[in-house]
Amino acid sequence: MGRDDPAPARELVTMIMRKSHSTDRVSASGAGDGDIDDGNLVALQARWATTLLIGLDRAIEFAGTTPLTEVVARTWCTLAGEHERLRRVLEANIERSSQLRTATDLEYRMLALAAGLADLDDDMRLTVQVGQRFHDSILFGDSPHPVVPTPQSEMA
Amino acid sequence: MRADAARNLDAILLTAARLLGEDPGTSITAIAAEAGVSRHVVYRRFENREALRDAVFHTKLDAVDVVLGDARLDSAPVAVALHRFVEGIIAVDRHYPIEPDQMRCDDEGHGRMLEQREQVATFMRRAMDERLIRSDLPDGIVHALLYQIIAMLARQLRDHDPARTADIVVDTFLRGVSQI
Repeated sequence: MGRDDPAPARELVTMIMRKSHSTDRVSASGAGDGDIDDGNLVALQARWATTLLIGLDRAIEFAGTTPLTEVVARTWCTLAGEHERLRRVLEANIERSSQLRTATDLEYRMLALAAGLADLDDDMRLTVQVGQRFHDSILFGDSPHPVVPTPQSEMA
Repeated sequence: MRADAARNLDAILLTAARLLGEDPGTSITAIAAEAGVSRHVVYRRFENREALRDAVFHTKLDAVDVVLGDARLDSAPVAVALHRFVEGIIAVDRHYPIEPDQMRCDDEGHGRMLEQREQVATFMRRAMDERLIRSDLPDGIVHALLYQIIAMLARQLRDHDPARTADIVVDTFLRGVSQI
């Protein structure tokens, strides 16, 4: 499927989003590496980022005195668990798709800023790095919060 | 704060400028979402939309100050200074597409804008003295005409870079559309 074929591409994104709540065991790529081109991966990442943004807005609103890092990490974990299939697809393809990595930088920036680990006056590039480290600490278990299964952990 | 690196704030202000330029009533939530950050991150810095809008205005005014300095309106050859000024203003207007009318909401910003316009008016008088432009038109007409041409062509020629757009703006301003 190529970018010149927008209708099937849209269907694929929609299909993955519909099944994103599914806990069915799927291949590491979720839908097969060959089926998802960079454009679709970026579209899926954008939908995940939107879902995360809405979740963070809501969670921070009602955070009370809970530390922001905890609120953000917990929100990420909860949403990742609810969209397990989508997360599997994104995690499985991030190494091979530079466009997906670039799109994911926005998520890292979102996490760092929401968690209060970076400020609006900070350099965007450094903020992305901080956010990525925070994301990895959530994903790979350095965080005290529950960790969603990853393709790597499942294969181990 | 590093002046040589793009800050997170810059992304927010650019997004705010674009959305507020399209619709002055755009909410902070919409601006934050478009910029890809939680609205709480924006609220930590800006109490309300008016505070954010003022920050956008002052950022635009800062950019105009740089353009005025680079154009050397008081010392560079008049035609060169005119082109530099127009090219710089087109770039700034495209980055921060906020209508001047909106800037009047903030007294300090409005004052700065008037000061900048006075610098341009002084340059126009110099251009008249050096006979680059006519001096027999009613007060303020030349100045207003230049801004109108810049605003119109900067929007209509979006696919041209600022330098090419400035060529057309300056040519239209100085020669009009007549073939005679």
